[in-house]
Parts: sequence; C-alpha cells; structure tokens
Amino acid sequence: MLTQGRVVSDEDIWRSFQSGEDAAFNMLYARYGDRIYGYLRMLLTSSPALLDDIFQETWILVFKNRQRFDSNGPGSFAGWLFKVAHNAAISEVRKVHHTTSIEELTIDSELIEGFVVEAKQENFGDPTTEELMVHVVQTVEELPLLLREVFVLSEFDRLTLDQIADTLGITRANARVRLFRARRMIRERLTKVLELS
Amino acid sequence: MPALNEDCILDFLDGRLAPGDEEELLHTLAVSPERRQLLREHLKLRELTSTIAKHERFHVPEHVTGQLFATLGTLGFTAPASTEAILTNAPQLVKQREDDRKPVAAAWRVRFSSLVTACLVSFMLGIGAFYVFGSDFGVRTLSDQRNLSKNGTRSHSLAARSAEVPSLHEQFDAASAHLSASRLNVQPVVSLRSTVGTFPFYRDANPGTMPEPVLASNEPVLQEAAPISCTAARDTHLDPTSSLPKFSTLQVQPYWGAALPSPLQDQKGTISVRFGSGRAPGNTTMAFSSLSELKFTWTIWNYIVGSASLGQLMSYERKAQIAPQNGAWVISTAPQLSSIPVIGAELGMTLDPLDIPLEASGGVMYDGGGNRYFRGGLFAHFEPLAALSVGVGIEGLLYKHDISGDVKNKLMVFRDFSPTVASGTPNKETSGFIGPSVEVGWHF
Repeated sequence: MLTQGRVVSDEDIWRSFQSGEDAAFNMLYARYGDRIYGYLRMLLTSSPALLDDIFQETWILVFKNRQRFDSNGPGSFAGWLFKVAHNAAISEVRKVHHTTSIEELTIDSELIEGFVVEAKQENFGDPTTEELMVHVVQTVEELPLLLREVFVLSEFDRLTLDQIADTLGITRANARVRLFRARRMIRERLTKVLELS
Repeated sequence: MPALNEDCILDFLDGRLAPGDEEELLHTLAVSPERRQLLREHLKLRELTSTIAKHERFHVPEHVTGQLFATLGTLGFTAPASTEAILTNAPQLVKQREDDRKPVAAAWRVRFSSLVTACLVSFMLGIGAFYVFGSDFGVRTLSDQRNLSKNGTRSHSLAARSAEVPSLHEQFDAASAHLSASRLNVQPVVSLRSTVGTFPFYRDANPGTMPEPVLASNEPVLQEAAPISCTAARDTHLDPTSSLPKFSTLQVQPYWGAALPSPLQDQKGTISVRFGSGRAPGNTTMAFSSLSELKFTWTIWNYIVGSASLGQLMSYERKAQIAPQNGAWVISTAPQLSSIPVIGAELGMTLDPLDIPLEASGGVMYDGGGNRYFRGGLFAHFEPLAALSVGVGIEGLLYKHDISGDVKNKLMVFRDFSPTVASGTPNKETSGFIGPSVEVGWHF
C-alpha cells in the first residue's frame, strides 16, 4: 500500500491499471496525453493529417499491451510510452515516404549544410520573448526527423539521455551526438535572433 | 576547433563535463569573447525551450479524446469515463518524480514472509513424502507400524521406550526365574540369553509363533525339561491384569502401562482434500466464498489430532473502486473475488477411538503477507473403503478485512483527480465463510 505523502509514480498507477483498475488509464492519460500529443506533433510536421490517428493508435496500443510493460523493471513508464508513440509515428512516416528502413531517414550532411546556410541568410527584427519562442518552435519543426525527435524528448519532455536512447532504440552515445547536432543547428539558425535578444 | 568547444559548452551546461575539461573550458571562455557569445546563445536557447516546455503545451483536442475513449470502450475499457471526467480535475502537467525511476531488482521484492511460506510448504511436502514413500527408502513408515501392530507386535513408540529401561534379556531372565521358583517349579537350567535371541513380546516377529530355542552346543540338555517356548502358559503369566502385582518388584510396570490398548496403538495419518464453501455473517455479497485445501493429518496423542494444510481461499472482499459521478471522481466499495494462497495448521479432538466418528478442530491459516485466518469445523467421518475416509460437516473461516487501507490507496493513486469517498463506506468487514464442507482422504 502507498504511504501518505509519497509521490505517486507512473509505475504505481500502471500497476493499478494492470491489476484491473481501468480508471488508472485515465490517470495516465491525464498525465501524458498532452505531452505525447506535443511530441507527435513535433515528429509529424511533414504529415500533420496523421497526428490525431497516430495519437489515438498510441494509446490504444498502450491499452492493449497492459501486461507488456514491467513496472518493476529498470525502464520508466514514460520512456516506454514515448517509445510506443515513436514507433507508431515512424511506422506511419515510413508508409508516407515509401521508405523501407530507418536508415533512409538519417541525416543528409548536404541538407544540413544547406539548412544552415539558408538559415544564416534570414533576417529578423527585434523580437519579443513570445516571438522568440515561435521562432524556436518553427526551427525545431524544420529539423531533420532524427535530430528533431531527440531534441524534443530532451528539451520539451525532459527525458534523460538514457531514456531517450531506450525510447529510440539507439545507443546513449548516438543520442548524445544527435542532441548536440540538433542544438548546434538550432543555435546557428537562430544566431541573429538570439544576438538581438 | 569551434565544434569541440561547443560540445564542451553543452556538456558543461548539462553537468557532464569532466573537472579537468571544465577548468580548460572556463579558461577558454575567459580569454575568448566568441566562446562567451556561444555560451550566451546556448543559455538563451535553453531558457526559451524551458519556457516552451512549461507554458506552451500542446493540448489534445477534445474530439480526439472522445474518439479515443469511444474506441477503447469497444476494446473492453470499463472505466465509465467521459471527456469531462478525464479532463476535469486532472492537471495538464505533472512533474515526474526522479527517484521513482530508480530500478529495483525484482529479486529484492521477494519478501521474507514469502521465504517462510516456501519453507513451510517444503516442510509439509517433505513430511508427506516421508510417510508416503518412506518405505521405499528403507524408512519405516506409519503404515508399516500399523501392519505390525495388527499382527500382535508393539508400536514403535514402545520400542523407543525400551532403550530407557533394563535390557529385555535381563528382565525376561528375572521374570522367568521368579515365576519358575514360585509357581512352575521348574529349574531354569537353560540360559535364555543364549537360547532365545530376542524376547518375542517386545520385538517384531512372526505373529503368534515363537521359534524353538536353539541350544548352544556346549550347554547341557535335560531330556525331562520341556522345550522352552513362548507358549500359552507363559503368556498367561504375563497377563498384565493378573500378573501385575507379582512384577511390581521387577520394575516392569512401564511396560504394562504402555502395553494397555490405547488409541495410540491405532495411530495413523491421513492425506486428504477438503472443500468448504459459504458466506460470512454480515457480508453483503450473495456469492459464496470457498476454501480448497490439501491436508496432512496425524494422531498426536490419543484423542488429539493435528493437521497441516495448503490451500486456496477464494473470498469475496470489498474493494475500493473509483468512478466519475456527476463530474467528480468518487471512491466507493464493492465485493470482488480475491484468490489467496494460504497455509495453515489445526488442532482437533477426535472421538474415533471411542468408535464415535466425530471430530472438532480449530486452527489458523496464514497467507504469507501477514494476514491470519481463523478457522474451525465439526466433521463426521465414515470409511466406505478400508483406507478411504469421507468426512462431511460444517466449517468456518473468518477474518477481518481492512477496507480503509484500500480506500486510502485509491485516494493516493488518484489524488490528481481529487476524488471523494462515498458516504457510508465501511472501514472493516468480516470476510470468509461459514458453510458445509466435504473431505475425502486416504489413510496411510
């Protein structure tokens, strides 16, 4: 039994859901619905029409796989949930772009350079904080997918490098490199804006 | 190497830079305005993303939530959730508790009580195996003892006592000498110690027969002396009721006392299965709880029997449930079936030795989680076959079930929903059952 004053973890709620209390699912949905929706929105910038369907598919998969996630295991529920969402999104992206493997979605160095050069040519006025935030969101949405998802998980959803690696099925070193590239690209893109601020 | 320096700056901001590299970076920052500008830009970028994360949340459209839970409803989702119920009273962002993410090895979740339970179960199974299969390993089982007892030999309990008293040879010699001198007027010219290896009354031998004594070759044989054997005359003199006073000086009373017929002579064990079912007084559910168990039973002393059992209690207990009512989350209780593995021990009084096939027993069961279940029963036995025993009777198993703990648990888990507890929710209840019970066993 939970003790008074203790913070109720996602794993506690998941165990309650596994033991048959469906209301616990509502609880988890209330905690993570918006975060997953935001994550998928960032991931599916090229296919916004799929957002609602993939969001629903994610939660249906979570509901169906009630016994799949081991709440006593080393992984966190948040990491597992984002992994389910990531896999659902990538699966749809593959269908849309007619790609056969995730490797085809890897970063094209020429694209990155072009992205950076193009960004440097942009010009901004004196921005307010809200305008800066809009710029940041837009820049994140324009990142290559594999950099974007790492950046969103790290900066918006506050997942650790280990959780990101677990969610995306990559190594921690790979996650770190991707995060570094994403941050550098956003900074380079927004250099003038940030200087002005 | 600007990239490397930027990498170092990001690691520094993340707190992942090694102390030696940190010193070098700080020196670089101190002498390089370009690097300081780089640091400022990353700090600003972090501030912006942090603000976005806190305030600029994307919200799930209401129609998407509605469609999702409609789909889940077709998949068996049972919580009566409306969109309002899901979104009302639910915070849009709940901070994750980092220390709850620490992995806990599954092995440490095996509690001490589980180990104790495993030990007791192993012990019971071991005892059962000993009685059932002991003879295969050269160990005398109770079945052997019983067979021997039926054939006129003494039970193992008496044999055990023989070690505490003078040797059989010494006592038999003394008794024979006394009887011969006082009644039979026969000179004991042959040493029983050498001719009769064992005293048949006390040892396992062929029932009703006594081997002819074998004389040693160097001892004289008296033609007129009758062969020494354990005949009717000797048995007559050893009749405890008539001969007891004469043996008072021979310190053999313990034998006679133990030789009296006793329920102990008929000692036996039983392995059985029992099933009882019924309702607990005061329990609101109409459904029956039940207990199925495997039991080992032994006669401990005369009319007292003991038993150890391993069973499965299927009991209806009130559990807390949470559901939305009128736009708010309410915790109420309802009976739910719980499956509880239990082990237990019982002491009983049986009137079998008086040929009255009744047995009353009482005991306690334990579930390995600190809960005790008190039980009692009254049974009538009959034996349709030689080794088969069938008992029917009334049995009860009752325990206090703490509902308030479950309610508190729900209040904790769902506190983001700010639930309320329904009025009239009880704190405790009496669970279990009182009802008919049937037992089928095999004597061994």
